[in-house]
Amino acid sequence: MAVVDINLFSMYLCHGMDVTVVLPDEIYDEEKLKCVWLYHGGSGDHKEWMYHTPLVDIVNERKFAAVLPNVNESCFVDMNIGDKYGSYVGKELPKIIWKMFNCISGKREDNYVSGLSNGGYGCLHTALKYPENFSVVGAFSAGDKADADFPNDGGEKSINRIRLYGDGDIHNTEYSIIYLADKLCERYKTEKDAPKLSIYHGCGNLDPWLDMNHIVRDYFIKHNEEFNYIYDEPEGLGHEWKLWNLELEKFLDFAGIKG
Amino acid sequence: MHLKINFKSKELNMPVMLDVLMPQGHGNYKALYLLHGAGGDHETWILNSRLPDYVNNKNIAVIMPSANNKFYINNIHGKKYGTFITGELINQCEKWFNLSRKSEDRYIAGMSMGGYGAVYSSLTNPGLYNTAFSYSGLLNIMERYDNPHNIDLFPVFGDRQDLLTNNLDINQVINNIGNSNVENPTKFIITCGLQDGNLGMNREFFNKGKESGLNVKYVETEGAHNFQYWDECIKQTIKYICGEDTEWQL
Repeated sequence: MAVVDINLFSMYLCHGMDVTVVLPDEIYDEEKLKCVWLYHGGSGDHKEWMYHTPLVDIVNERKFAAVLPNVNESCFVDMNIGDKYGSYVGKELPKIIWKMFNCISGKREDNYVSGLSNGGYGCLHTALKYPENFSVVGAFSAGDKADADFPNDGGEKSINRIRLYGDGDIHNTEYSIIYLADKLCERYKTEKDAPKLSIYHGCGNLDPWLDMNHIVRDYFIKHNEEFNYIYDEPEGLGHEWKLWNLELEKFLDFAGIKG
Repeated sequence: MHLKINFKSKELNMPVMLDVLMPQGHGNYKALYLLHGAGGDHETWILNSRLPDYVNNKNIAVIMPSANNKFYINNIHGKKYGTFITGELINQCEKWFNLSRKSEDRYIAGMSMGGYGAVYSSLTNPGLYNTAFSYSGLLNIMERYDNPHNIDLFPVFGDRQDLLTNNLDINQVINNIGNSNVENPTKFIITCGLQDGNLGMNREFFNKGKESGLNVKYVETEGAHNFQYWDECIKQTIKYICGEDTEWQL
């Protein structure tokens, strides 16, 4: 195993950022590893997946590179008031990682983006906005933020929402998963070679935001011609690491990353 | 950018830590393997010098391992630090990162114990590195044996009697290198401060090295056995590797 903790300077953010990369023990000469991006949730950072899953063992068994970015409080988007984390994590950081690591593939077909909770929304957002960089998505407990409750009452939740997305309805903006997916569908109508996405989506049936996950599910099932989409809803699990550990393995199976 | 790497070393049969300074550029970087002195570790150079400033915007990756006070060689009663430094570490870094794999782009340097490590690695692996730099190097182990300064030398070198014949002291290694057929033999740049207690052994190595046909240059300036001196050494080293003018009279 090799765990690489990186501190780099982002030109989009104009400040230092931390990323962790996990590599397997055995790497052949000139081998280009598949690369799985793992996005953290709202209360986590680039270490979260390391602390709550046996990621190093999984990386060694299945032989891939894991990249764990940190995006602070931004939910993986270019904030309404705040830094452009979406551009950082979707555009800038992949190029930095692919250039720095000789042993990690920079091809979209070898790059998979996944995440939990806010990161589940985030990985869908990144892949739909920058489909030229990623080909498969693993979204765990992921709702579309456009469908979230927004009582604009000056409370802390509402203040955070405004900092992230502004105070309006965001259904017809690039903050909405469904809006971005619709735009991609439009591209498919006219662009023969527009990049296609496979999407694995998992959510426990006890998740407090189950209904938001269902809205996303229903959209992609309806668009099953444009997106290779699969949905999993384990019984008796909620918004918890037991669920995310389970879904990670199922997603890696779905993605064909078996070592 | 700054990297901290934790990986399982097969040679040492244990996990190790590395500090790395990596450029944010176009790749095919030169590599400098930079070794610390006694009592230090993989963080020493970054904490005590302005190395990050000196490599800023340069195409050099700097890789800093820990010695655990074991002199960077295959220990007599211990682990194979030598094979780790000159074999596994290079192979892993070149596999992971966008580094040049040519010897002419590979350098090794160190202060005190690290100076010994740089010189020993280069003498025993002809042509592996473009240049070896030693700052205040511990280039005579026998002399140190009688004044160990809190370092346990026995696990590394065996006992004093062993050291006479086991080809680990630099003076013996020079005698035994013979003629190597390497196309581009490693160059040696040996520096020492005039106020440093290691001055004598550095002058001695320079003379012996010259006699043995080594491509060796020697720089003496004001300075003592401390980071005020070694900071200046690494500053000039980076300039030298980049092909810039240095303050050294070579």
